[in-house]
Amino acid sequence: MRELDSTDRALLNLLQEGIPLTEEPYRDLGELLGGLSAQEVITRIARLREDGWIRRFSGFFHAAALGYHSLLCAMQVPEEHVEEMAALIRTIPGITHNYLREHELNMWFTLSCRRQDDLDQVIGRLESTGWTDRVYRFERLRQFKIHAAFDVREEGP
Amino acid sequence: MNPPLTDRQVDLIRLLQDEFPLCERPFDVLGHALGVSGEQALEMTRELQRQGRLKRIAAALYHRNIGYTVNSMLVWDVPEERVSEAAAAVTEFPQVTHCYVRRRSPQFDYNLYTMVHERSEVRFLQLLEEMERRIRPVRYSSLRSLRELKKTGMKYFSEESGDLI
Repeated sequence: MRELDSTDRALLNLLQEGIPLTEEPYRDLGELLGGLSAQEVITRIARLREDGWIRRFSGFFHAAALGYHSLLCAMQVPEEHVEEMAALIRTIPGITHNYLREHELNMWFTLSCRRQDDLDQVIGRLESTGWTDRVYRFERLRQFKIHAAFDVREEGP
Repeated sequence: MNPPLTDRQVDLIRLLQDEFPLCERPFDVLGHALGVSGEQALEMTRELQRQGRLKRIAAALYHRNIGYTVNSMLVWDVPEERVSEAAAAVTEFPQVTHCYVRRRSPQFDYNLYTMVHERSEVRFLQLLEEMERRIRPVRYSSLRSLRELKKTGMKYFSEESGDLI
């Protein structure tokens, strides 16, 4: 992976906040970066993607504002069934995040569906595998912050 | 309340979930795909944002690659009357990327959830100590992330998601 220069770092910080919604957003970003051309900005973004710094560059939406229901769930999956359960979950499009965590409830995932019934159906499917006794649901009551932006600084650990 | 999404808005949402075009006039590309002008595609995108449906067009990074290697879900058992105050205190930390109040469960009796990312073990322990001090002594648990088993962007209104199982 190539090293980031200071312009790359500034660009990554801007890109995480969101590009300006204008006719020529890359030209506007170039101006914010001290006079880069639109083409230079485009080339850098393409390279940052190829080099594996950028995971995704696209629109981000509010699930609830699009009419989706979402839920955090957890379950206890014995060691011998972790791989199978993880593989099953990778095939379910409504589950976008799945983590193995340090806790008795060791598998945590987020589920979003258009209908409440679909949530129940997915959870029923996971429970019917026999790889877990029960899927616990942790419904969101209030949201205070959601913005995963990381400061890309020079500074080491 | 927002008006219901139009078919054309849904088409635009589908397009915006794909990689955003890397060319000088990206909205012209989206407009072309939708059969409208670039100006109209831009205006429709702004409208989705004004309606609170689109958060932003942005880059998500591989956070482990940029040095944030320690990730944990910290859960706190905060008395209900202090939960707003506690949330306000912890969301000030830039390392806290998500903060929610969730329904308690007898098997997992916590109500405040925070996702944190740090660059080292030492920094993580310092952060934990500072957050604990700000929330004041309450019972909490740190659920460190051991493995990322799946992480993708949600595809809303995709053909696939109608076909869940």
